[in-house]
Amino acid sequence: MKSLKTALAALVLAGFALPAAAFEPERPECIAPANPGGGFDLTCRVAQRALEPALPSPMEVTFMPGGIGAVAYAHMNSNRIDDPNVIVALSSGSALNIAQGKFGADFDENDARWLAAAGADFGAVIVRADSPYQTLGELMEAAEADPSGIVLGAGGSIGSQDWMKAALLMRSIGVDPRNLRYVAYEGGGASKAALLGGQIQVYTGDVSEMAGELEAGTMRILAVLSEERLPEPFAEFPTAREEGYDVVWTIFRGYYMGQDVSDEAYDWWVARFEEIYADPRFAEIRAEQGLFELNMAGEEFDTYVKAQVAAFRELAREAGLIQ
Amino acid sequence: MDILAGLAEGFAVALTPLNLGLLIAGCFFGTLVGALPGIGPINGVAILLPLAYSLGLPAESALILLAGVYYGAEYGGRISSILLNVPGDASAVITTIDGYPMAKNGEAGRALALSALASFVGGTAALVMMTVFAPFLGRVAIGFGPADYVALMVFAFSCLATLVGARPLKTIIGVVIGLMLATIGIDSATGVMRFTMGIPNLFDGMEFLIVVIGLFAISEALLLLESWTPVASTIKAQRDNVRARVREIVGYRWTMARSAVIGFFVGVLPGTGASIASAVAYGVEKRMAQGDDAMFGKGDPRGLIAPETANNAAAAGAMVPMLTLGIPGSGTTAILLGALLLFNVTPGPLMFEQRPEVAWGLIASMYMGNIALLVLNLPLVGIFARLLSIDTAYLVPLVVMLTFVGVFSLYGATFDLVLMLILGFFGYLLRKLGFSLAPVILGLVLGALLESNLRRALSISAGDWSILFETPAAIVFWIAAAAVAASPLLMRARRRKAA
Amino acid sequence: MSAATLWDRAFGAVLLGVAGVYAVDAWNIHVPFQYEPLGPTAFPLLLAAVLATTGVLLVARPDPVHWFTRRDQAFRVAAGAVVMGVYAALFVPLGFMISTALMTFAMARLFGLPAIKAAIYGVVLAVVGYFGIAEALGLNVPFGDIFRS
Repeated sequence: MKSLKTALAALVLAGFALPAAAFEPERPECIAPANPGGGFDLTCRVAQRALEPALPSPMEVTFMPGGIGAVAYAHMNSNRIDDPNVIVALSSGSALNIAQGKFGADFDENDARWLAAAGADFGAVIVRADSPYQTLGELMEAAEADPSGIVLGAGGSIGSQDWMKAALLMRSIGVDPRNLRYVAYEGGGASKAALLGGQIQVYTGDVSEMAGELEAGTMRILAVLSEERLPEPFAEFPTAREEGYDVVWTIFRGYYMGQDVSDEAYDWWVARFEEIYADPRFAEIRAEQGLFELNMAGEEFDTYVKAQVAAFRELAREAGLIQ
Repeated sequence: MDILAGLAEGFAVALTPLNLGLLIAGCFFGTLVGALPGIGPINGVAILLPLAYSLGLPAESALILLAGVYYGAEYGGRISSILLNVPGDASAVITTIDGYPMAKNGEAGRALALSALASFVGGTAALVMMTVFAPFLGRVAIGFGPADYVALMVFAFSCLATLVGARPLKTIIGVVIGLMLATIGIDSATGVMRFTMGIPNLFDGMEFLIVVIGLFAISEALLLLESWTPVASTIKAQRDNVRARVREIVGYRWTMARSAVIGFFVGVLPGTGASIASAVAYGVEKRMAQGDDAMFGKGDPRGLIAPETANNAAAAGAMVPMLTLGIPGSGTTAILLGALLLFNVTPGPLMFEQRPEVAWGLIASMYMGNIALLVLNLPLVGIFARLLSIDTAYLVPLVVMLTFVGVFSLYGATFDLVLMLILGFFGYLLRKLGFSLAPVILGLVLGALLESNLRRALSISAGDWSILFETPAAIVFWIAAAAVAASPLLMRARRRKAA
Repeated sequence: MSAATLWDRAFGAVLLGVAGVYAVDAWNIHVPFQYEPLGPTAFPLLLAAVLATTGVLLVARPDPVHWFTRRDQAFRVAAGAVVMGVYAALFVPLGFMISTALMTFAMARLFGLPAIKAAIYGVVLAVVGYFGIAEALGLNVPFGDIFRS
């Protein structure tokens, strides 16, 4: 009897003495807010593989498709608002939709705890290999002379990331995005097909999806929309800034948790992500998914996401997409 | 002889014991998943993708396993279509039109055997076409622009116009309902919400799977409840003779040849897929049979063989743009594409040079898979046919449970279950009023493609409608559509002259 | 007007109403700008027009429909609809096993299975369904909110 009491006391003491060790997720889960096989699935797989050594049991990936994350956002804000075991994949596409109020009137960027980034990708201006345009400058001059003479296309509607890239490029030379000829396809694959098939002349896509086409020599990247030149094998491509057009488009991928998750649980997850950022294995996993480095967790990531949403909101307002 | 050398290398990969075993396992699992009402190829591939990944299989082995599942599910989808009038997914919808009446007439065994053979012929014929023409076709398929798609969709609609149903008016209403369902969700051109009522679950639009399962499976359960009587009246499935079916199907060789070609070419075009292929093949077959088409919709074997040949041919055709260009041709190949990327294989023109073991191994495994599926399926015909004699008291709860599992496992929300039920009650109402459901599904599938491609074409031309009639392919489809639409009138005129 | 044609006439009228609501909804879609002449409203408006026309035609020339010739049929269909609705409502809160057992029992009873057999089948289907299908295939089914602490 006495030994039991001591043991209990010891347990209680241990609990007080080591608050950080008290939290451990049970049945950890990553929600990919899309169908299997897409970008969100891959984002969850990055976490699943990179965090494997740090988790008490393997992370389960579940799917909740709908509105680039809108369904999952609503779900997290109702059923699992304080669930410490679940993280949800997000991308800058989700942030863009939050900024435009497409996650529903009830939700904005303050309805989640932004956890950590998985990595980043960057916009790219892409043409077919036999295109007359050799540099971004040539393309932009032609666009300036006759904005409706060039057919642009990409994998998203008006207000999507791909459209934003095109609109920002046009804005940088003082052309109203409304005077473009822009064709919306369903996703990157269909846009690439349209570019190869000659239905569109310019595709405002992403860098990492181009690896195969570059190698095959069927398409060319005129410029990348990153702040600085990218690492190999993309180092040869100039940034739009170098060419004199101040346009940057970063596609970030990461994770968030419910807005009422305890600090204890949130901090635990942040610490795990900070650990894996230092792990060379993580860099490998990230590169396999075609992502560039973007190491940001906790407070820093939270600030970053909120700043991005604010910037997107401003862009959408300027373009007349929201009031 | 590049192709033969590649194929030989592919067979060397596919015939290793591990890969052969995975292929057979995949085919078996796929048939099972496809045969369960409500659980289709997308579930099947999605279920096995993480498993294949965590097993640490080499890329070609994992892909062979997944392709086996994909293929097997297309095969298995017909089983619940024929026996229960519940298609596993959209590509098996047309199979219900004549397959289910055959089963009700006591010919379940015949229908299952014929459809298995037709699937085999369609799949294999498409593979041969794919092996020979793949690189060339990939280029043709991408040259196919939005205007050409518009013309193709109009052609598909003209094939549908007199597809099924007692009255053309009711077929048209069914198609329009499907088209209206297709407009729900975020507009793909402007990004504005349409008819979503602010519900996030509707932002991506109506999921085909939910509509198919709701309309068919749930309404079927209600129909069975209505028609149940305390006196048991089970359908006796007659014993069937496989050899007789092989002889019979040879008689339909031209039906299969036409359907395989239609299925393959429609399947090659990105975004169209097996449901349109099977609908067009069915429509063409019915037109060809004019004067002798009284049994279509009531259990004509041609109405079963044509869509089954075509949808398996389309499943193979959909692999062409994926393998040659890295562009998925259908929802399931999109997942396979994701799988390739997961295994660090970049699909596209260079895949055949850089990773020939993956590219050719996959093609060879599809040949093997077709044979494996035929061998697996024919002996099972008798067992499956006996499912019909299960008491509805046991069968209906099982079907309802499977539909719930199928929908919930993909969409994970009560909302989608409720949506499925509402569609099911609506489907029951439609069927009681003498509507057939296939036009609704086809309207849904075709509607999104028609509208978005029409608007894309007009974006490209900056509003000039003449873009719709500029390319040779578009002109061919417009003429074909006009011919199909006019043919009943011509036939009637000719008959009148003869009389 | 015979009773048998009432169904089609009523349905035609409903289609007309749906077409109206749908058209108003389509008309009210606000789009900042668009790159083609049709925009998001033209196609829906066309569909509404076709649906309204076909609705009128159906009211004018209905087919005879014979529905529910016996009263027990209407009861079973309504009961079946309720059972499935309740199943959907309980699927997540009670979890797969309990809700499936209840649905199976009720549904099997509607098909005339004796209570004991129906109960046994309910339990068997719930357990086999969970372990044989959901677990074995790795499908994601609800475990049940009530089991969460």
